[in-house]
Amino acid sequence: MSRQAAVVGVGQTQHASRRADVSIAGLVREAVDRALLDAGLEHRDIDAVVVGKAPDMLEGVMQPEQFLAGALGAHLKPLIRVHTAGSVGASTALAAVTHVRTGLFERVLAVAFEKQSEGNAMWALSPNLPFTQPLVAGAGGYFAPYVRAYMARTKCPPHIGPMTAVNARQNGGRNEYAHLREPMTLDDVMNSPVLWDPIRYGETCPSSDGACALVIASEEAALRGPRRPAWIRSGASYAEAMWVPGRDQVSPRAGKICAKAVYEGAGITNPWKEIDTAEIYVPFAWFEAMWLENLGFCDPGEGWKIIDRGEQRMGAHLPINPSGGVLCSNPIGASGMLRLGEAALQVMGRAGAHQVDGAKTALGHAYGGGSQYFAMWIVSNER
Amino acid sequence: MIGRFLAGLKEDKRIWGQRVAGQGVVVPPVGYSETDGSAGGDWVEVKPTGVVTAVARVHRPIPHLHPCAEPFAFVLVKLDGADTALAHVVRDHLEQLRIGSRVEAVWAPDAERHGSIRDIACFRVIS
Repeated sequence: MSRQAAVVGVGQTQHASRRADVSIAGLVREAVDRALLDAGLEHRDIDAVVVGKAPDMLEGVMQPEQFLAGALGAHLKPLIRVHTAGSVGASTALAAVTHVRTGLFERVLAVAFEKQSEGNAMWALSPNLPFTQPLVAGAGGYFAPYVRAYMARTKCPPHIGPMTAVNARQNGGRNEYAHLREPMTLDDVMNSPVLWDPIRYGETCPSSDGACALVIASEEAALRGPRRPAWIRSGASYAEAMWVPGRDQVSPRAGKICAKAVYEGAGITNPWKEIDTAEIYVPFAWFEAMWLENLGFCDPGEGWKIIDRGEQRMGAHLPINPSGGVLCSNPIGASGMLRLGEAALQVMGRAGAHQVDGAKTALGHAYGGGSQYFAMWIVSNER
Repeated sequence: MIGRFLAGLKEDKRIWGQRVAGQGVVVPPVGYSETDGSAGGDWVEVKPTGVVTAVARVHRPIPHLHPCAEPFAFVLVKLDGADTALAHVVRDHLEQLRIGSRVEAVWAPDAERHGSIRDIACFRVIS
C-alpha cells in the first residue's frame, strides 16, 4: 500500500428534487460522462469500477449496481458495491483509492448516486420490527435529540443553527450544480416551522436526485493526465456500534479516531491552522458546530463559537462547505462523494465561483447511520 | 433518449432503436452501449413485426398487477431490423404461440396512446 493515488477527474449532475428527465442509469451516466471528460479519459481507460449508494430500500431497487453495470461501463471489468449508509459516497471513493494503492489498478472509476424522487427515503428505513417499538422518527427525528444534547452540553445559543443554514445557502448560491440556491435570511430560518424540535425546516437538507463520479489514478497515471490532479494525502473510514453503553452520539469516538488517522496520514498536527477549507457532512445545520469539535478543529464546546464569529464563512479563516454542502443538495448516496470531490476541486483550483482563494489542503468528510460511520480524506495540491 | 422512442410510439406509431457499438440495433434504446459504456449512436427505425424469442404464459393473472385480466403470455420479440428483443405481451391465440412465432404490434387507439410502452397494446401472432 505504498503507491500514491490522486483524483484526476470530478463529475457531478445537476441536483434537483426530481430529475424526471433521466432514469437512474441516465443520472449516473451524467456524472460519469463529466468525470471522464474532466480526466480526458474514456471508458476503455478505466480498469475497475466501484459504486456506492445508500440502502436499496430508498428507491426500492435491489442491488442497483448490477443492473447499472452496462451504464457504468463495467462490462467485463471488476465491479464492487460499497454500502455504509450516508457516508457511502466517501467510503466508495476510499475503496477506489485502495484499489489503486494496492497496485492492482491504474485508473478506477468511483460512482455514487441517489434518486430520492423514486422512493421514500424518510420512511424507508423505519420498518416495523417484531421486537422493537417503532418510533416513527424519520431521519430528522432521529438526530434532533443529539442536537438538543449538544445545545445542553455546550450552552450553544439558539441562533447558531439558523446562522449556519443562512451561510450554507449563501455558498450554495455560487454553486451551479446545487439543488437549493435561493438566499435565506436569519428571519426566514427562525420563522420556518419546527419539524423535529429543535430542528427547523430551514435548517434541514433537501431530498435530491443526483450523482457524483471520481476518477482515481495512480501517481504515474495522474502525472500523464491533462490537468493538475488532487493528491490524496490520506484517507480513513471507521465505524462504531449503535448500542454500546456510554456511547457519545454527540461527538462519536469513531469520528475522532477517523479524523486523527487522516491528520496523521497527511502529517497534519494542527488542523485549524494547516487545513485551508473543509467539506463536511451537515444534513441538519447544527451538525456543523458539532463536527467542528468532533474533527478537532477546536476544543469541545467551542464549535458553535467559530460559527458565531463567522470564521467558517467564505473569505474567513476556515471556509466550511463552500459548495453549500448537504444543506443545499442531498442525493444521499452521492452526498459523501460530493464532499470529497468538492474538496478535490478546491485544491485543484477548479471550484469555479465557490473557489476558496489559495486552497492547498482540504478535508472531505462524511458520516452515516446513527452518527456511526465515518469516512474522510485529506487532499492537497502537492504530492 | 427514451423520450424519442416513446414519442415515436405515441405520435406516429413508429418504433425507433439505436445503433450501438458492440450491440447492433438496440430496441428500446437506452442511450449507451452495455458492452463498452460509450454513448449510443444513430437512430434506426425498425419494423412493427418480429419473431418471438421467449414465452412465459400466465394462466391466472393477478388483478391490478399483471397487464391483462385474462390469461396471456409475456414474450420477448426481436423486431425486424433490431438485434435485441423487446419485452411485451400476447393476448390472443395463445395455443399458436411458440418460440419462433412471427408477431406484429397491435396499436392502442389514438386517444389511448400517452407515450408509454403500452401504446403498443400487445402483439398478435401472424404465423
